[in-house]
Amino acid sequence: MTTEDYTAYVEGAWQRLFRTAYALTGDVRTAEELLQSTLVKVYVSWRRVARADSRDAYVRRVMVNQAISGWRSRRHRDEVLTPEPRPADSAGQSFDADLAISDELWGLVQRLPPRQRAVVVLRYYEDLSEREIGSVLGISPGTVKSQASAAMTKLRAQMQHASTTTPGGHQ
Amino acid sequence: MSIDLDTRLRDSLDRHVGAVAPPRPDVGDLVRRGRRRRGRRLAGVSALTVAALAGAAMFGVGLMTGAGPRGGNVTPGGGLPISVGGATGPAVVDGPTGLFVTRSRVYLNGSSYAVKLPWDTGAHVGRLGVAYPKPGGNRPMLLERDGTAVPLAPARPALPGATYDGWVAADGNGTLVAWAEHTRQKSQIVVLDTKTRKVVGRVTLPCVEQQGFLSCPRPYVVSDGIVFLDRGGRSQAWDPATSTFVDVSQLPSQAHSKVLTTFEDRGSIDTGRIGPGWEQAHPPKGVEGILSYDGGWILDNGGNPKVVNWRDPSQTITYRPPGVVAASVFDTDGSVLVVTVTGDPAAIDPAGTTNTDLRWTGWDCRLGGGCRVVVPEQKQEIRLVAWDL
Repeated sequence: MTTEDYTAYVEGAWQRLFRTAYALTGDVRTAEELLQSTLVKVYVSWRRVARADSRDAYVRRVMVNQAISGWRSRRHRDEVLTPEPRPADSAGQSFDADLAISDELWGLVQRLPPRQRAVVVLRYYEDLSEREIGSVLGISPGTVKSQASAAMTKLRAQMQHASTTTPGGHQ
Repeated sequence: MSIDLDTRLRDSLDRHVGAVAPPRPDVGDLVRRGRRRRGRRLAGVSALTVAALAGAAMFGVGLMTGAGPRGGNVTPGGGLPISVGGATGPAVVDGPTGLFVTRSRVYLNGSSYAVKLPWDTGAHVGRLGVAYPKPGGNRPMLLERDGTAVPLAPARPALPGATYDGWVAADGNGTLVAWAEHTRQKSQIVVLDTKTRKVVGRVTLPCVEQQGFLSCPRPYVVSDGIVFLDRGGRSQAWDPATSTFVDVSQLPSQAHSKVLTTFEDRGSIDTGRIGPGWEQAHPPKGVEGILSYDGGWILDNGGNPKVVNWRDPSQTITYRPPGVVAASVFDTDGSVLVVTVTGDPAAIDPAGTTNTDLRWTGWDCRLGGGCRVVVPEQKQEIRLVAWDL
């Protein structure tokens, strides 16, 4: 156990881990709390973490499983924020429409149940395979598939609703 | 130009995550907190041992008095439900009760069985038991009320080259279950009556491939003889008895007793197109969650469970089981099943799958009776079966 080794790892990995934490939580403060809490736990077990084939994969696994553990997600459920208003853009209607869809999707992802959200983030942000996601979450690739499918079903349904209720709806 | 959802998701995540400037880490603080935690864990070993011995003694008393899993003590120190507006809660429907799941066991109707249900989505409660995709192949199964697990379909789909979908929909008030068998080109939807064990509907529909992800039709919800199909953003209500398909505006998220809910309760469904008597639940703003089996109540499960009569929102029941509520669902007998967690939330095992410092408890909470322990406190995570947990 060397604190120097741990310190070097945290300083090198902080930014990329924070981005994943932010994708999982949708909120800067919550992401920082999640990452700090994760790294404290990692410190406690640094010997084990240091021996892992991929430290990042190990730490990400700790973080994702913490993010989907029941109480945290539910405690913060009401804190999911809608996208901040954007200033008017003169680049054209289709650009605005794409950004609106992007914002809408971001909000919808943050409202997914925690496990489905984790699968979506690992699949579409981290670009992990179903097998890799299964390894992170401790579930089978088949379960990853059904989680992803359920999440996509929900997102499609909500986007479809948005497209039918928004003037000039998205496609 | 139309862009598929996969691409839009990637773009959205990249754009929003990329726009955030990560704060600077305070590594010194992390090290200090880590050292304190290590010290606490070592000091906590002896205290945990004492607590474990005390817990074993209490459980021994329960066994000696003959208390079964449903006969545990009423919540100590309060926790009685609060009923407002004369709320009485959902009506009883015929179905399995007291359903809790761990990684290795299922608790059902007052007993527990060594059966592995899917750990995440895919299982649904029907009148005769729990329909679920069997881990390792997703073969549709039914866990009957007496704990017998019976296959509903052959080990491999009849459709050549097909695999079972990891989702088995069930009618909470009926005996129909439905699943899909996919190839890369098409999806065969099968509807089976678990009472007669006969297939009562079968239809083959095309799949659509988008960037390596197959979007195949699947039966998402079954209620009152109608199978609601998810067709990649479109939704159809299929009546196998009459072989009719009706496009409905949005996919329902749940349906019981001819009452539908939508995702996040935001959308609207053309209930009139489905048939007479169908309606959509419109819970009050800010209330979302699980639909009761009688269709009349919504369980807001974002904290202490709160049951709301969506037709008359002045009627509410709030349950307060001890501990931090991790999840809650309706039971078929009108009560609310709750899983609580106690322990140091920051002490989850870094390995990620074994929360060694946490304790999980399964409760059955009912109006007039408080919360009773169904699954005694244990280190294994306890989950519930619901569409959205």
